[in-house]
Amino acid sequence: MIRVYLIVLILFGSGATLANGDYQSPEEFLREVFKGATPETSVIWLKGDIKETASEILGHPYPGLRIRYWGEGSRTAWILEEIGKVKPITVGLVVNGDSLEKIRVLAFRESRGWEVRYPFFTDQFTGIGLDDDKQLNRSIDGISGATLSVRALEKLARLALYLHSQVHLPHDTTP
Amino acid sequence: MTRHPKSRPRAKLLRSLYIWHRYFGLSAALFVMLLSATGLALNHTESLRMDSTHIQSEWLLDWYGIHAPDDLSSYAADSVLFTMVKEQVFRNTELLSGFHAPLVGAVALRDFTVVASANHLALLSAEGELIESLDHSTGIPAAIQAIGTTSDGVIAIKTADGYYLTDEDLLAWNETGRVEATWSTPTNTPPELARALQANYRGNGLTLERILLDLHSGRILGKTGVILVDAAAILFLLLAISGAWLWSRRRASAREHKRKLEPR
Repeated sequence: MIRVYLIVLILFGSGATLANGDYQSPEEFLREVFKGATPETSVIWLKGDIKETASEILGHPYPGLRIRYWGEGSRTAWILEEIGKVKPITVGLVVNGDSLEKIRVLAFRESRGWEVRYPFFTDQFTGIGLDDDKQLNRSIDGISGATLSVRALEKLARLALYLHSQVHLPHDTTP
Repeated sequence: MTRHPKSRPRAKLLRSLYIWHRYFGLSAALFVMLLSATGLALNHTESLRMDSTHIQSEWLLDWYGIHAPDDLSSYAADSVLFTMVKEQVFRNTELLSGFHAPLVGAVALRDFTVVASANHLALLSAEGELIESLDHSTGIPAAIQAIGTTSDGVIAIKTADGYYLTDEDLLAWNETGRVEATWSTPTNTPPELARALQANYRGNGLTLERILLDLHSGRILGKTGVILVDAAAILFLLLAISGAWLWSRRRASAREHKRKLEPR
């Protein structure tokens, strides 16, 4: 009985410690993505159609008038935030050409839904793109009990893909 | 027909239990209504917007001890005043959402206003719209002590670790040696603005959801309330146990009565 109690305690305890935290700093993420040579910071201004479409994707206006990104060749990296239930989830995203190359949860501040940070979930986004309605062109399997976090990541993936399509990369070599 | 000698004390016990069960029920009724009503409402706080409905009742705000600070100070950036009211920061009378105290200063440039807290910068348009929110994740140094402008019109920040200057677009912050700048300093908040902010702070301090949560748990009455709700929970248990016991006794006695009436 005591053994069962201890196992339960350890399981719940470890769950609580894994629940939220800063997993990787944006600087480290960018260094990893660009192999140590992070390009200069660029910004995209949210005006007119871009602002309107970003609001449609998020379901609310983006909290700001400009968004930073880092671009090199056909790739752009984005550090975006979206609220899951109450607190923002910080996500790093890399878009290459028309599809998502990488998505990683950098900071998770809520008490539930932190499973979205694991590769079993984020790997589903690799190679995903946008259809004509600016929806993801493949469905993503959700996680029970993490609906809002899953939704937040889907929105950020759509936003990064859309914003990438709106920026003009100086050294873009894609046809 | 004569009663069995043992059945008399049992009947007395049963009758007494009936009376107690009735008292338990009556005492629990008020709590059942309160807990059901608040529980139902709490299940729908978001759809009923209870988390964004603020209580304006003076006595409830007093009961919760929500008081605005008496002395306020502001930082001026052109003609706009940025004021800290406890943990909140206001642009004139408008709350800067997502921006947290302690406020360190504010400076105005040609197209931007930059507001600084200890670990956070908010870049605002001339109309007060948020352009970008900057923190350590965007390369902002921690522990900002002051913000100001150099004679060349460049924004400078002073931190515990040194001085930093930004570029024209406020995209990068570069560490530098000692900087001579006009640092933003606090001024007295005009009385009219102070009164408006104090009323605003108090009015936004308590949500309907908080009241319902505290009514549900009893915490609205402090420790006494929690004990009362605990007592109610014990009462519900006693009610369930005594009810189940009475039901089983009654069922057994009905069966016995039926058996006696059946012809042998």
